[in-house]
Amino acid sequence: MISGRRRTRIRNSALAYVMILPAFVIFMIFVFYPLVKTFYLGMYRVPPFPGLPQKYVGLSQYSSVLSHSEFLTPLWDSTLYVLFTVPAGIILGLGIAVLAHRHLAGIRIFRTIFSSTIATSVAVASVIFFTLLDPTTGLFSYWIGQRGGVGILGNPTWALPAVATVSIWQNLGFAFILMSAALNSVPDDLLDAAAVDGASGTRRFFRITVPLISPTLFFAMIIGVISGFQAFGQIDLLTQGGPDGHTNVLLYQIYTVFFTNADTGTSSVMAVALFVILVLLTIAQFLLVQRKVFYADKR
Amino acid sequence: MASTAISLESVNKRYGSTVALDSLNLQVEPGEFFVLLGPSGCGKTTALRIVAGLETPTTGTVRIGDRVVNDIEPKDRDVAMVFQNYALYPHLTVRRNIEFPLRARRVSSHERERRVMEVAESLQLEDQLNRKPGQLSGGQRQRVALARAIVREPNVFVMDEPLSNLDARLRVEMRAELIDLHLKNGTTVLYVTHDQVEAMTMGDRIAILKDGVLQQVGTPKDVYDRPANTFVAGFIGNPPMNLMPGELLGEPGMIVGIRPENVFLDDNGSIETRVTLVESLGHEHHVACRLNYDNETIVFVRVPSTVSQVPGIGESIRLSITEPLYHFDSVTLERKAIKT
Repeated sequence: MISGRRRTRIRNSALAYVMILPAFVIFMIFVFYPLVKTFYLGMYRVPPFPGLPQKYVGLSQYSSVLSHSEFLTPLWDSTLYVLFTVPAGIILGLGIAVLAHRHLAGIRIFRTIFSSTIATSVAVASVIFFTLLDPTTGLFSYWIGQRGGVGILGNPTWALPAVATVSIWQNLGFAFILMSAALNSVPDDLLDAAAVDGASGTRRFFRITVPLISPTLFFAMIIGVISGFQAFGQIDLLTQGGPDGHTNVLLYQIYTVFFTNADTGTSSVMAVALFVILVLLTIAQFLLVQRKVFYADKR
Repeated sequence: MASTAISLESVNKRYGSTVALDSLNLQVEPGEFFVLLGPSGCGKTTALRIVAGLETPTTGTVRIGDRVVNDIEPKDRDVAMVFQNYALYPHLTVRRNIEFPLRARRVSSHERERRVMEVAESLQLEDQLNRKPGQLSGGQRQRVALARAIVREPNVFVMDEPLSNLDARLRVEMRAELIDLHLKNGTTVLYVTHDQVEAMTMGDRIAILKDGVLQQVGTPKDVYDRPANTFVAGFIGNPPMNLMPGELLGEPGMIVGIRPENVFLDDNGSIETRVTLVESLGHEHHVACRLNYDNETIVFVRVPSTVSQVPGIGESIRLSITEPLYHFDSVTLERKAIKT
């Protein structure tokens, strides 16, 4: 005999499960199944000639691919790319937000301009910069004396920083909006109090403003690292991994190996590795950096 | 601690077309507890922020001591400020909050420790030093804000309604502590409040502001006994002074003022009224009555609790009055010097 209360509880739980079912099904089909399938594909070696059967090699393919320069060099390029884009993106976004966080006449026009790149797609940003960086007609190439020849994008030293610059520029609008919102959340009274307490502008910024907006800085860092490791569009449009593999970041390498070399085994191993790296990096950031973050509601 | 005078000379402050302060002249003596009193939006906080350096006057001169400070940064004015909402740094511990001004001034760590402990002890904050402001009660936060101001040993304190966020009991306690503190260290205090009880109990002198214009400056007794105009008369005192149209020695166009404590329930009284409201406060009752001959005017009467028969709402009662009566010009609203 089931009591009335228990029956209500069962009915409520059943309803809850029915409600989350659509989301669960979508998650299973588009996230969980591909992840498991990728991991599974990583255990099959693709034969050098099409038509031959794939061979089960288990985890040995993981150890061979992950220790090979075919994976390690793109991983290093991705790391460099993240190191170029994340700190610079946050600092620039914060810097511009600080400049625009003033009660000046016409400041709204500047705020609109600063945040406008958020409405720009990777493709548009890449085309703009491709034109600017063009070895023959590009304005940037002209300024830095890189006329003729292969230009900046063809220069092994400057290609990755150039692509990173495009990303920083494109993400600046988002960083600016994020940082502006954070700056607006800092109570004026605290900055006034610090001013009367004898703190200089610099001290107020680093001792009061930065700690109080640290949750936003932390958030920007996490999503910056994740999106940095997932950079693809700008590479594909600007350099296709060149020159000589100097902008061949991990995701572009995975794409090349999968679609160009049709090596589903190797590319699956790399994709799983990228997933694991991002998860570990995010956990590490939470463990190491979050201690420095001040959340107002967590006392 | 040193005591320093503050003076504001013809200080104007405009925000666009809004006038926040209109030609304000104030002279705060060294060591004085000076209160700026007025309703919301009267410009008292603006005046305070101008002294602290957080606002610049549109015109006029601000002096702290002998120094004109118009162009001096807040950090270089040697003014400590206590804010209405305490403005404690939420990410720093109580200790770091208190020593923030000392760190900003590069005071040695040994000296910092000594002064923080001294102030924490005097404000009973020793046990809270390692906690964050979010973990403290309102009263404790208020103490930390005070400690942060005191630890600097400044020349001048400015306080912007520091007790307004506290509950009634705590407010009375903190009021006493602030007075005590002022008596001990004798530093000049410029204190802003809209609470006349605070102003009357704490201030050596009070300046009353309305719409950015100074109405009167004087000791609490001065402003109570000799209000300069109907605004001050109506603002100081609870219930406020009764103001009604009248005449003076046959001269019409007067407003007559009588304090509620000078109006009495009197069966033989000449003023016929009807009771509209009775507020019982325990130690006394405030009775509001509508005059029979002038339905517009409400008269407040303070009835001590010793009076056994408190009238009820709607009851017809008679009142009598005693001196002092105050006479105000009904056009200028200024008080006439004659007191009958």
